[in-house]
Amino acid sequence: MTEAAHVLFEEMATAYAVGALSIADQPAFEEHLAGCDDCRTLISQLSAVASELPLSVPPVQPPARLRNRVIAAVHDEASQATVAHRDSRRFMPSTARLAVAASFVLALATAGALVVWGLSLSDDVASRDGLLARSYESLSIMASADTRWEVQGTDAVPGAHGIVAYDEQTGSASLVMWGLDEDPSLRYNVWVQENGERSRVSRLYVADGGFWAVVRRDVRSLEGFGVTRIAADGGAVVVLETSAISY
Amino acid sequence: MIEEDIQHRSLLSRVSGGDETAFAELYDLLAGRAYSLALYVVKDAQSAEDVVQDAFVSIWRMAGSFDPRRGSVKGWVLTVVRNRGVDHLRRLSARPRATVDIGTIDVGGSPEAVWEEVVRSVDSELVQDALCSLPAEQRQVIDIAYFRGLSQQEIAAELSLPLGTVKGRMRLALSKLRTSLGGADGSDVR
Repeated sequence: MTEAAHVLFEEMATAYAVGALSIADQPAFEEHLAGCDDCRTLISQLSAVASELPLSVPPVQPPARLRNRVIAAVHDEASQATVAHRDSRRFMPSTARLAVAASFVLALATAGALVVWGLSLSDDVASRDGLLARSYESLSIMASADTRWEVQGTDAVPGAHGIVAYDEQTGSASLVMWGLDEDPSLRYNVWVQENGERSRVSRLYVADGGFWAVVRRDVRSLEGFGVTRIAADGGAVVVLETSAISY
Repeated sequence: MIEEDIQHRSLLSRVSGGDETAFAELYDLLAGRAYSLALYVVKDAQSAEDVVQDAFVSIWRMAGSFDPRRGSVKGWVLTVVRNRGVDHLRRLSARPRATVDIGTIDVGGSPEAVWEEVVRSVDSELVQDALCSLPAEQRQVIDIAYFRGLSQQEIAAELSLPLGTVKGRMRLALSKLRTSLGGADGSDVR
């Protein structure tokens, strides 16, 4: 690596470590990162430094009620997970289809060849956390999940299908889909439904002809979840819609 | 610090197995830092509580995915809090003040409270000293980037600086911090 290239990369790595790399630069940077041991070492060092920055913040005592809120929220989570686990009707996909899903996620994780759409929204958590790390997370969920089931696209995309894997230990689900339109002008939002309301939780990313997302929720305990396709003119079409009843 | 992290990892391991008592213990150890960080980021006490709750529920869900090779439990937890705080700012599409006025916040309690013993530690002084040793303009870009979640381009626009200047200041700042905190060899940042 030339000195100029080294400085350029260090600037990008620094920005990446503190969460200030522009969204447009992230895919290319992460692609480079996936294939460069030296760069991963540098990122590891800089990220360790960045993780120390919160220690510089002046201490403020948290209110006592906050402890009660947090403990109660986690207790509710634990209770719901137990109920969902007991009541869920499991449908195991075929070994062949599961292998295809795992291979797909592995391919995108190791190649780092992430073609990412629709990263212009500045509130996209995934883009800030790092897509590469999320792809590894997706692989991990797919490998260790204790509940998996197949899903089909809506009538708008009858050829679309996919697999959902939920890992109780991490509390996250991995969704992999095929058969969706790869037109770059389109973007796909993953949403969850609770109390009759839908809220977006992630983007659906594309790589090597497949689509994937990590949903950090117990999707089994929700009223449902799905994917909506957004066209350039704002037109929205639900391409996946599933409810607790279906799994 | 090593003993502290061993304790945190032991608790987190139990949390990943669904141990709510261990979760409460971990919360008690880290809530002071977490709330301080959340308040520093979002500048609003009620929002800070929401951020901390959201972060700790996420930690409950994600405890099993913690990778000890990537740093300490405390660093991981605070990174989750920081990310949730920045997410909150983005959802609001509002930009906070540059600094939080601690004097306006009712901290309550006594200075001898347990939380303060947890929060005030040698490592925070080291980090504060390292940050204070930076030129003000370098410290500023790091502060805006990390605690407000602005990109280099957004920082350049806000400070009316060339993008290259922001990139250079950020690179020099983190490089100096890496040296100050003893992590130049990548083995440990302290």
